Amino acid sequence: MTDTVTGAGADDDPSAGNDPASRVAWKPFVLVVGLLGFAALAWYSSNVDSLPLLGDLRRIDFLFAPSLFLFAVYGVAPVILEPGRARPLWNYASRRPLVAFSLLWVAAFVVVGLLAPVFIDLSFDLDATNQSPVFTAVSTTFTDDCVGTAVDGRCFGTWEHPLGTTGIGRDVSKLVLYGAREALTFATIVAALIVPIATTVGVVAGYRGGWTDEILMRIVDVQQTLPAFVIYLIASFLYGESEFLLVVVFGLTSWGSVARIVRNETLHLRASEYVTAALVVGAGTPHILRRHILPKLSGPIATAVTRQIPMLLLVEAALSYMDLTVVTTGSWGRTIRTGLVEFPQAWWVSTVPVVVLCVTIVAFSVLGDALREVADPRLGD
Amino acid sequence: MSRIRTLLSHSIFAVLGVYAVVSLAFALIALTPDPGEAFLAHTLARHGQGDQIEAEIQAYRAARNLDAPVAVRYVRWLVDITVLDWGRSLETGRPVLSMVRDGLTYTFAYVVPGILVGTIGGIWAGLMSASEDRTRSRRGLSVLSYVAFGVPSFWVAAVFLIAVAPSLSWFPDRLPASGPFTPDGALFLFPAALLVGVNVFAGQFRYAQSKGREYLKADFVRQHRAIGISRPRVMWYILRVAAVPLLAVSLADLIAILVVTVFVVEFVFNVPGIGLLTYGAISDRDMPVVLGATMVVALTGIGVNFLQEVVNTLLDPRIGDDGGSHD
Repeated sequence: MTDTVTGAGADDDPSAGNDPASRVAWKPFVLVVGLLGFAALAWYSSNVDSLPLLGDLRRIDFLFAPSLFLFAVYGVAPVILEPGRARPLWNYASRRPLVAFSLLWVAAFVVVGLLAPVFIDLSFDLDATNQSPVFTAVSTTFTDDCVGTAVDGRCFGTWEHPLGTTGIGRDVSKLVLYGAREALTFATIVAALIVPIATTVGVVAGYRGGWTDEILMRIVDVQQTLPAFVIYLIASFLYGESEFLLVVVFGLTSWGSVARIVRNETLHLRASEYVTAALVVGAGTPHILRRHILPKLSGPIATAVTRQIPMLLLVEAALSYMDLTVVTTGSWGRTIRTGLVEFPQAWWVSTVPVVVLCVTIVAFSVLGDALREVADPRLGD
Repeated sequence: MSRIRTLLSHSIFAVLGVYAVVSLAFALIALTPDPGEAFLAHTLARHGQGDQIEAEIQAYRAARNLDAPVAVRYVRWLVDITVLDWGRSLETGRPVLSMVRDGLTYTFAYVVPGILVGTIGGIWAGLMSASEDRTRSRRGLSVLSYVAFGVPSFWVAAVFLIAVAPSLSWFPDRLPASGPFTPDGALFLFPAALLVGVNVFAGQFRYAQSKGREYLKADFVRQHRAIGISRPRVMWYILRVAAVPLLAVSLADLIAILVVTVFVVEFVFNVPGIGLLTYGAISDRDMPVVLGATMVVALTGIGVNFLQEVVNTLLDPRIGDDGGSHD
C-alpha cells in the first residue's frame, strides 16, 4: 500500500512538530462526510434505484470501500499534499534496490488490485486447457487442445496465455492479477480495523500508565495467546464460513502487537521534554494528544501495520488451502490449491501464484523494515 | 514493585487469563444454538418422528445438564475444567482430555525440536549477520530469511510429498503405528520439524538482526571493542542484554506463526497432532473436542507468556522498577 508511507518522515519534517491545527481538523470531517456519502449512495442503490457501479457490489465491498477511503484520507492525501513528508523514505529507497523494488511492487499491487475487476474477466475456455507457460512445453496427451505449436508430442506455450492455463482453461496470468484484488481487499479491511483499535488501546495505556496500562497490556497478552486463526476456526464452526467473517475476525483480533508498539511509543513521547513543556504551560490532555502524540505515531503505526500484512496474507492463503474459507475464484490461495491437485504435470498453476504471493510478502516485509529504519531515529545509520 | 510482587501480579493475571478463556468458551456454548439439538431434530424429522422432537430435545438437554440455569451451568463448567473433566467427544465417545493429550504428544514431537533449532539458529545467525562488516553476505542472508518467511509452508510441504518424497527411500509413506518416538516415527516427522524450524528461524533471524544492529551501536559494545575484547565475547554480552527484548517482541508473533504452521503441517503431512484433531473436530461438528483443543492452544499461550515474564524478571535486573516494559 502506498499509503503506508504516511508520516514516515514525520520526525524530519519541520511542519510536523508545530503542526497547524487546520491539518488535523480537516481529516475527520472529510472522513465522516465521505463515509456518510457512501452510506447514502449504497442505501439509494439498494433501495431506490440501482446505480451503475454500486449495483453489483458484494457484501465485502461495503467494508472495502470505507477502508479504502480511510487510507486515502489518512494515508495518501497527506503524502500528496505534503510530498516532503515521504522524502526520507524516497532517499532511503533510492540507495537500496531491494527497497525501491518493494516500493514499486507494493504500489503495483495496490493499482492492480483496484483495477483488476474492471478490466479482467475470469472466463474459462475449455478449448485451451492446461496450456503451459510460454517457452515451456507439456505433453500433448495432458492438454486436449494445443493452442500453440505441437512438436514431437509436446505442446509449446504461446503468448496468448503467457503463464499457461488451468485445467478448465482459465488464464493463469489473469487469475494472478485478479488475486491481487482479493488480497488487497483482505489486507485493507483488516488494516482499517486494526489501526483505530490498536491506536486507542495503545495511546490510552501509554498515556495513562499505571494500572490502566497494566490491565490493558495484560488483556493484550491474553488476547494474543488466542491467535486470529484459531478464533476464525471456531467462529466459522458456529456461524458458517464467509469472507465477511474472515475479515472481521482478523481485524478484531490481530491488533495486539500494533497496540503494544503504539503504547511503547506513547510512553516514550510522553516522557519527552516538549510534552513536559506543554504540560507546564497548562495544555490539556486532548491538546497534547492531538498536537504532540498522535501526529508522531503515524510512522510507528504505518510500520507496524506494514509488517503485519505479510502474516495476514500467509494465513489467508493457508486457510484457503485447507478449504476453510469461502474464497472466490481468483484468490491466490484457491489457485494454489487447485494447482496442487495436478501438481507435477501442471506445475505452473500453483507455482505462479506462490511466486507472486511470496514476492508480495517479501515486498511488504522489506518495506516494513525500511519504514522502521526511516521512522525510528534510534536506528538511523 | 519488588520482584516478588511483579511475579505475583503476573501469576494472578495468568490465572485470570485462563479463566477468561474458559469463560469465553462457556459463553460460546451457552449463547449459541447447540448443533447437537439441530442434528437430533433433523434426524427425527427424517425418520418421520417429528412429533417426538420436543420430548427428545428435552431428554437431550437433561442428559447434558442443559436444563439447569445458566449460572449453575457456568459454575459447574468452571469446576469441571479445573478438575480436568473436559467431557467426551460426541464422535468417538473418548474423553476429550486423553484425545488432546495424544494429539499434543505428536505435535510436541516435531514442534519442540523445530523451535529449538529455529530459535537458536535464528538468533545466532541474526546477531552474527548484524555484526558482519561485509554487507553483501548480510544482505544475502536477509533476503534469504525474507523469502523463507514468504514461501507458504503448505506449498513446500505439498510439493515435498508429491514430488520429492516418493523418490526418497528413507521417508516412510505413512505415519508408523509405533508412535512418534521411534526411529520410523522420527523419520516421518523430520520434514515437519524442518518446516517449523525454517519458519521460526526466519522470524527470529529478523528480530535478532535488528536488535543486534541496535546494540552494536551501544556505548558498552564500543568500549568492549576498543579495549580489544574478542568478537565472540562481545556477541555474548550483546546476547545477554538483548535476550529480554528478543524474547518479548518475538513471542506473540512466534505463537501466531506456530499455530498456523502446526495446522498446515499436520493437515498436509497427516500427522495426528493437535491441529489435525481440531480440524477433524470442526468438520465432524464435535463441539467438546473443538473447545478442548482450542483451550489447549490458549492455555499453552498463557503458560508460555507467563514463563517469559518469569524469565524476564530473572534476566533483567531493572524489572520491578518499570513493570518490565521494553520494546
